[in-house]
Amino acid sequence: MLNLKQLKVVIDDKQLLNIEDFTANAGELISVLGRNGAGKSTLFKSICGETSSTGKRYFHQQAMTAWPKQKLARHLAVLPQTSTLSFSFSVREVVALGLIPLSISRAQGLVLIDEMLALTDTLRFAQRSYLGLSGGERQRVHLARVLVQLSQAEQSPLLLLDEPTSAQDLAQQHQLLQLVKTLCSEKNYSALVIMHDLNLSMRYSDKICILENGMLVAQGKPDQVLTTESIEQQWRYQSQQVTTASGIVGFL
Amino acid sequence: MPRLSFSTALWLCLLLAIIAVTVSITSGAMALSGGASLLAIWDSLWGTQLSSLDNYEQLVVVELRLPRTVLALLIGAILAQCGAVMQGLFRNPLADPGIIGASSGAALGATLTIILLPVSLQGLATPVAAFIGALAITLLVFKLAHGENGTSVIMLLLAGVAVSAFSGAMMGFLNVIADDQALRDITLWQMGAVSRASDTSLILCATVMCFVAWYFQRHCQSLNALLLGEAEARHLGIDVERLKMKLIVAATVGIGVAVSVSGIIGFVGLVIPHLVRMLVGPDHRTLLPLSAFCGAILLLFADIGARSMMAPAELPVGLLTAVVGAPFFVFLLISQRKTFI
Repeated sequence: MLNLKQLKVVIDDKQLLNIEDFTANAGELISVLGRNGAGKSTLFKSICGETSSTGKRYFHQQAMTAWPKQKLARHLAVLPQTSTLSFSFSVREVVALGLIPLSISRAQGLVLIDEMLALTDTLRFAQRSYLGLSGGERQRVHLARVLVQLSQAEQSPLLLLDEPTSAQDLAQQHQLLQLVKTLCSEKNYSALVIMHDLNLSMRYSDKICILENGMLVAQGKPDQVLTTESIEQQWRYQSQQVTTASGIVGFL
Repeated sequence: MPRLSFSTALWLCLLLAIIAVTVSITSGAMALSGGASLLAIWDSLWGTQLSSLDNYEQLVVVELRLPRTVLALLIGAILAQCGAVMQGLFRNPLADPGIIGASSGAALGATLTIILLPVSLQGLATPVAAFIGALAITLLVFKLAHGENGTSVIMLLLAGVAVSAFSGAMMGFLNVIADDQALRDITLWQMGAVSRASDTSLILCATVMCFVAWYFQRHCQSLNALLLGEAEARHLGIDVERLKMKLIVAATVGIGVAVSVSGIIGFVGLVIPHLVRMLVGPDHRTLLPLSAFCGAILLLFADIGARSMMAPAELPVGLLTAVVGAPFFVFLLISQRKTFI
């Protein structure tokens, strides 16, 4: 459903991104890995058209530029790593901003907001001021907001998550990725997730792609892409592979 | 602090507005009975003869106090709404038409027409020139202060200082070359007052007030989205560049007209949206209408103060709003000190 071809971003004669061919299918959770400055955020920005790029971007077989803005907003949502919101909205009000591109009744909207607050484990502080929350709580509130935004999609929606687990505690990291995974497998969402934790990525992704100097150097099933060799090559770190009794593979 | 519900706040505003209007109509240099003054307005509206006031006393009420009251309400409502929208656009609660220099740009535009154009042309040309001045300065400051992560407060304030200084110098220069009559007009007008309420200015202000209220209300959800950040607003399907342009133009129309009619009345656009946010939260759907109400009430009370504190002499109302507003601004600066660096 998302297809990128010869996507290039060049700023000040420096090539920041050069993707030959990339496809994300409906129902897939894809981790985007890579060292700092590898072009992960640039990839996200160019997918949503925030940086000028050359090449082709297709979403559900239609050029992305041909999508009407509102309709695209109902199908493509971005969870930023941090937010600069500095006005004292309540948590519920922040989530309600996700209703903006939708055309539904007020009552339906309220039900939807409650549902997404519950899914992201933020319902218990729904009345509190957003500014009083911790970084991880804020991120989950924004996740609830983008889930509201995508809830009325007619075709499979695409979620772009920029390091959604970076500010979460251990339990929340797993809950959050499990939620995204469930959305993918049960509701046919597709998610691109920038991550730094290889073990989380290994455990929850359907596909992993690794970026280096703006180029896709590897993509495929997690156990094919992530090996002690590829980790050493990419991150210059000698890791050890461990496999638990239940078959979960991880790296130390 | 627990928030008020929109309807409670609205009722409170209505009550305060009724009190303010009554006080404004019934008080002044000439001691007139309160009830009779209000009846005089009734008489002039419906052609009845209920008021016990003499003819000249009725004139004072209907021709002087009433237009002045209405003008204060309109200007206050315009300034407060424009302030609220500017703060939303800049995503910063310190943005105010006066502080970022929009008001001084408008004043410069207006001064130019007062000095250079014959009196017969000034009626229309002054508000237009004020609008152009305000627009030019706002765009300039916006460009200067705007970075990738929103607006830098330091750049915002410094850019405001620079453009205000420049407009001030230009106006000083214009004052030197102005003839006596123009100089007198400018001096009176610059002090900021709502006492010169002609029919034209009332109609102009009423039209502009209705326009900005309607226009801003149409875009309040987009403004809410903009508070999240420009990228986030774009992801919500909003054409951010167009939205900003449209709102800047609309807000500067409001500021231009307000300044051309009543001079620079500072801080209404800063204090009111801030207070309203504290009362009902930052949602523009409630913030904008309540700001209009509260701005109207505040300016009317300030005007009542301006004409009664040193009666029979009058203080410029801009002086009073600055006396209240400037310390409030300092308070805001202190409370935001953390976020500056």
